[in-house]
Amino acid sequence: MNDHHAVTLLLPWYVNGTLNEQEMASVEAHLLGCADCREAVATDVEEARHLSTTTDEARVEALTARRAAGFEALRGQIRGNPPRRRPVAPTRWLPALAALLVIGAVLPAAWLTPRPAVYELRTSHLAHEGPVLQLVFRDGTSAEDIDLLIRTSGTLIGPPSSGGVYRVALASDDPQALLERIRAHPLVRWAEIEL
Amino acid sequence: MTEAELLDAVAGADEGALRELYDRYYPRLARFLVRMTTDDELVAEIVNDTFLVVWQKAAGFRGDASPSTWIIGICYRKALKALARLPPTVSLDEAETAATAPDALEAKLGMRRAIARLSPRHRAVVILTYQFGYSYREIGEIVHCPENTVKTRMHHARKALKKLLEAES
Repeated sequence: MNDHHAVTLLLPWYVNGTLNEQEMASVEAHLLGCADCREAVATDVEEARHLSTTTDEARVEALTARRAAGFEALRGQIRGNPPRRRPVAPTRWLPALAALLVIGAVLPAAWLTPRPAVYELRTSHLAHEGPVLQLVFRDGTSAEDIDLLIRTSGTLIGPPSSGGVYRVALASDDPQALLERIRAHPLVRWAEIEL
Repeated sequence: MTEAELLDAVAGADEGALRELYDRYYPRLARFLVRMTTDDELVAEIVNDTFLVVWQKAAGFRGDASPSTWIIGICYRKALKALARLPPTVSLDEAETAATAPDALEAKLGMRRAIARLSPRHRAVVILTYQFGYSYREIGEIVHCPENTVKTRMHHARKALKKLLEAES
């Protein structure tokens, strides 16, 4: 956008005197050398004069004289229609909301994410010759519940797979009975003895 | 009481404060609206629609803008909505008066007719600038659009006015 066009856009507000000092100065500097803009200002002044010396004042006065009746009509509209409540200041609820968001977003993620550090001490990477149970827990199962179920069944072998499959070296003498018991647990989605 | 204090009282369901604002603003809104429509009943209806919103939403006034730009902004949107329901009209009375009016009055009525033929959005920017003396920044707040859009809208309105006035003469 060139200076001429930029100044042209500002002329109406040069005429009504609401430009800031910098804008006013740039318009005045441009006007000194631009006959077209000087003519446009003269037209704008004329338009402003026509609009400010309105012949509609009689209508405005007639309308204003009826405003008492207008307000009575408005009272009828607002009756039983109270103002909406003032919104609670953001500074009061924002920290609480932020805390809730953290609890809502971070904690479930923490619970659902396999946490190798928790299981590291209980995990055996040694070759296991006995039966091995594979199991998958339902979404939302807490780390504590997973830990408890695995500890009562045997020893966790390594971290869970990327698909959330845990491998547990069974300590029971009756693996089939244990499998049935594990499968019946409400937090277990799937369980099987490794072949 | 200041207008901001009155709005605060309105937010607390103070009908007296609403009446005070209504009385203060009625002539101002009427001056704006008689330029937007020739229908006085519609003017009165838009003023009341405006104050119904002021009553309901006074608690939402945050003071980012002045009470004046906030209230006139509501009025502007109510006027656009009401005018959208109507076909564009020009007062026949004005046209008839112009035929027999002296030159100065004829020029004035010619300007009024030309402004009446602008689109409501262009007309509002012209009125808010020349008649109400608002800055383009304030008009941006009133009509809820960026400052550059206000400038461009005014630019197109002036071009349209020029054509209409040339056609008049």
